[in-house]
Amino acid sequence: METSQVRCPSCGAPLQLSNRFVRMVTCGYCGSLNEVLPDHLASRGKVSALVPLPTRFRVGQSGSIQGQRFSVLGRVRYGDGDAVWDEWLLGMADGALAWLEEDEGQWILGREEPLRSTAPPQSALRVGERIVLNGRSVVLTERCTAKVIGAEGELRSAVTPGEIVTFYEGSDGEGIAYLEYAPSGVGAGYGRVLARREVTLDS
Amino acid sequence: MLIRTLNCQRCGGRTAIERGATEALCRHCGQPVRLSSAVLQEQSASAAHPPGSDLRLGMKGTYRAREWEIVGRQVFGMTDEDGFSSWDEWVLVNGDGELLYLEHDDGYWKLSRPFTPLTPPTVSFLSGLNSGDLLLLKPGIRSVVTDRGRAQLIHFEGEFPWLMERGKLVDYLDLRYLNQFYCVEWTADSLEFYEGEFLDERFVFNMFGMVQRVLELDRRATRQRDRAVFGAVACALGVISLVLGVFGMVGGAALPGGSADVDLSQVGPDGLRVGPIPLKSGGRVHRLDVDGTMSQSSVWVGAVLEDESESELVGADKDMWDESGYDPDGAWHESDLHASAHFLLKQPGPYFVRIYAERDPTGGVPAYARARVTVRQDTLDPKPVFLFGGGSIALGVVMLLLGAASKPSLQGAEGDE
Repeated sequence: METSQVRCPSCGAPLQLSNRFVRMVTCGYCGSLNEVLPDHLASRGKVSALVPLPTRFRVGQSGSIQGQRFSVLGRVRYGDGDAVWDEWLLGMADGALAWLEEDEGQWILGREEPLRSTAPPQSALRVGERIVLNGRSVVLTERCTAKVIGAEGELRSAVTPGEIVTFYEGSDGEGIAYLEYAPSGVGAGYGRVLARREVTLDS
Repeated sequence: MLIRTLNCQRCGGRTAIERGATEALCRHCGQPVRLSSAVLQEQSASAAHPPGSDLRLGMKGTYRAREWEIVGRQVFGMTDEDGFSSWDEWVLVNGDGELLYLEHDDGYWKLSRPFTPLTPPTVSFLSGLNSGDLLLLKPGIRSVVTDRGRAQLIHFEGEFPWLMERGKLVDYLDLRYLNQFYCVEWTADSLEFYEGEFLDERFVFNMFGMVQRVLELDRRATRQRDRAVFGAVACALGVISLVLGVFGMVGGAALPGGSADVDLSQVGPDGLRVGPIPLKSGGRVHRLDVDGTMSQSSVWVGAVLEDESESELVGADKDMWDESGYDPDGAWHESDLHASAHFLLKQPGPYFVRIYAERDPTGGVPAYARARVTVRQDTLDPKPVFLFGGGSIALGVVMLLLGAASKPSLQGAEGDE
């Protein structure tokens, strides 16, 4: 995987960009959160160092999912009351990005998808009802509102600690479709639950 | 002693709070971490909702070669026509962050994990299902709805990877396919599908290394087995006693002075009274036997037991006959020369037997026709035998039921099927 070296605009420490789709990168030295612009990095504030939670993933971890190599580029930590969880950004061997979410003990691998139509208003979404999302008929199975607690490494989109994000998840029987309502816009994606045996982590 | 760990609201790190303290500084970033009033209420509520089993937070167990730790307990309650009931749902996590849910409800154990159904049904469809309806959740598996209801989260303690909300109402459907169970739960914010298996109590205790409880179960199983064996033996003994009692009544030896041989040709129209026969065992079963002796003739013979005042107590009679002859197969001989009657002797005392004999209106009784009357007493007193037999069977049945009551059936675990 080709990487490019940049410097932190706050402290000058070397930062690594591993994927051309990365839009944010945090500095592991000074904790600054930087937006990746076409010709430079722009500081967007600071993030706290994230305390390790019980998980088998870490930024820099590599491995394979169903035989396809990946490396963990970054993560966003969300909090919902007492509950805290991470979503890991994976750089896949084919150059695409994927999210790995640890959700109540399940590993869900998802990829972003552009919305093919206007995002439905949240007021129209009810858990337990069927909607059509990007051509798939899905039953909404979860609604969750959480706060961005922090981030680490390289990220796909702009995140701001403290911002509130509302997630909707739905199932079409084969995979999990999701919608993400953030202040910066609405994102969509599709993924599936991974069996543990499908994932191999390098030691 | 550490009583709780909380996630810091600023950095997400975990910080332990000592017993008695209500706040601490995050050991990672220094941010104050306080027990909220809700948490303090939770601690006092914990005493009001003690676990229904010996499982406790922090216990570690082994399941399918993985180590699992109990990190949380939810207590659900619901009210139905049988009144209020509550049950525990323990949350188990392994080193990979996988979760299992171990439900314990009145001695029944169920272990489940989330899954994605083949075609997720909508809540409006689920709401229309009732016990006995079929639902296709996995390919080729038509599970049957066994129960439905609405439970309320009345208490929780420990750590959970999702937001807990005391008082939250959860609609649920329980389903079953063979030994697998499925559960669908839904609220305004989530629709979840679980699959799992029923666990035996011994398996759960073994899983968490609760050796003493396993030994207790072993002792209980031994007691149950002993009771069942004792019950079977008692029932068998009871049946044998009853059979012996019946045979004892119908058998019996002739009483001293209790038999007489009568020449039937000497019996007049008013009969021939023989006796006295001393009968001494009041309350016992006796038998009056009449055995005829004749050849090539038939005589109606009757015998009536009388007391001293000639009151009739019991009688036995029969058209007795004896025939013999020759046919192409050779000589033949047939007869029917016996009559008898059982009676319960109420009062001991001297008794008599009056014998009657009639051939037919035109002929007399042949001179060689004789009858022997005999009064016999049962060989066993039926009262204690029957009491013993009945008591043994009753005791045996009770012990068999106690022996079989050790293990709740899965049928009972499924609610109102």
